[in-house]
Amino acid sequence: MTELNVFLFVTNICVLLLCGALMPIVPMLTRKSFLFGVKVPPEAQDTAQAKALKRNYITLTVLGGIIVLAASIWQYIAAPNYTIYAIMFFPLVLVAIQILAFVPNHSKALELKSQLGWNVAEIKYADTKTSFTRGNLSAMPHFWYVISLIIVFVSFVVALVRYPALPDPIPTHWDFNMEPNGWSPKSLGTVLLMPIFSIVMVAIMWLTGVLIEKAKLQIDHEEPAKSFAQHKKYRRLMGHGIGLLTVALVVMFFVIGLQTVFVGFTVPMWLALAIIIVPTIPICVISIRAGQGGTLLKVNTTEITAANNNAIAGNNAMSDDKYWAWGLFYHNPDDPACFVGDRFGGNIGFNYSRLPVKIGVSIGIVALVASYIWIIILFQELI
Amino acid sequence: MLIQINTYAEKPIYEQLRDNIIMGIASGQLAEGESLPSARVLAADLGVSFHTVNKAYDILRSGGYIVMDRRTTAIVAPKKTGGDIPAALAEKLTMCAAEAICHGIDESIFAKACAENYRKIKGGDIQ
Repeated sequence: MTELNVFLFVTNICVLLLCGALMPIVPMLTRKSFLFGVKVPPEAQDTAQAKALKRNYITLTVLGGIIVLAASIWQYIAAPNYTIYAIMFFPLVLVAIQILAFVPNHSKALELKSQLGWNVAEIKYADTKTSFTRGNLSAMPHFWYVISLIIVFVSFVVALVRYPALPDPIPTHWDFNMEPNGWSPKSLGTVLLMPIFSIVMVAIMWLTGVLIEKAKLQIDHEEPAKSFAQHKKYRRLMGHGIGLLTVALVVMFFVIGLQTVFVGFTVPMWLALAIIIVPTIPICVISIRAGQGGTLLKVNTTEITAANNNAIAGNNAMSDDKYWAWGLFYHNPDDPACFVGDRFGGNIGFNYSRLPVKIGVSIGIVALVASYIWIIILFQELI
Repeated sequence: MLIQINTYAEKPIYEQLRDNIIMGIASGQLAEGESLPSARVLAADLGVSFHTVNKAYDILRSGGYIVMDRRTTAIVAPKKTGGDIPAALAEKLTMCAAEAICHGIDESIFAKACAENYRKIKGGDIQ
């Protein structure tokens, strides 16, 4: 139990540090057209009022992050057996803090917008050649997933070929020095667990790729053609990033699975972690340098031309802000798209008025709650 | 071509869409026979109702700008040459002339502005 607790504690601190560090810098990563989910002209970002809101948000999130971090350290010292609950619930507390810090600033940003007349024309774009929402799935880098599936297939074959020669029970769990400390009775299920798990993971990653391909692009008004080209480039980059990550995860599971089917063969912990961390670093660097939706990418815009822009002057005081509840949740029954560009931080938002989204989000919440209950029951025996 | 509409403009969305596409065809950004996105896809991309896009496509089809290929795909209609001014267009021209007269614009200036616009659009210079 102690070793498990140490492992859980370290993971928990890492997750909290990562999320906690990311939380305050989200306003800097968000595109300049949005101030806490409110559509504003990019110049508005540099006003004293907007900066004050951002400072308020940063202070709240940094403070909240420190408190949660302190709480999880205190929890580990006071009641180490409950670390599993910390790892389950403290990240949720961080999310709650982020929302609590966000919503009041969103309301203030709305007020400021009407007071200071930060009006922007609500212009919508569509390309006649490529759809933003139906996504050109053939343009996705499928080869990453093909490579992943080939590796999974190899791990299936290796597991099945080695199966007759395996001892009973077989080691299935290792400590930090990679000495086996957990054994399971020999069965096909045990041996094939990692490959099956890998297939599920490839499917989830592929769906993530599809989601990115299908999310609606948010085009900046100043230079729509440039913004559009940036989005396309960014989408390609993200597609490759997710694909690379999938291959890395599959390789890691493949290597870990080898420990089960070749008794005595062990992989050092650092290697297993390196397989996953090394490809993650360039992905993080690229996504930060590209900005949200690729707003910082350099592109060639000659391939796209914009139609006549004369006829679209409109009421600039009106905007889609009203469709974004709290500036976070998009609910527009007129919009047939399920996935839209996010207004804060993330790259994909949902249109909560669509039935498939309602079903999907409900399934997600039920799955999360169910897995939490399952983990709680599982750990009740251990504590 | 990049279609642009303003959902809060006085001009209805279906008219903006129609104008975008006509301008695209006239300026050569939309080539003869090029297929347009389906009404559903375009509606989702623009974040407007499917019926709005359908209405625009209906108007474009009855105006002879697009034709429906196998009843599902809208494609840009073949180029016409040397035709007479259709009635709907003649009506618009009449109104333009009337407005110009009300503004006290000289006949020669009005004619020059018309010709300039014609040349600009045909040359693809519509920014």
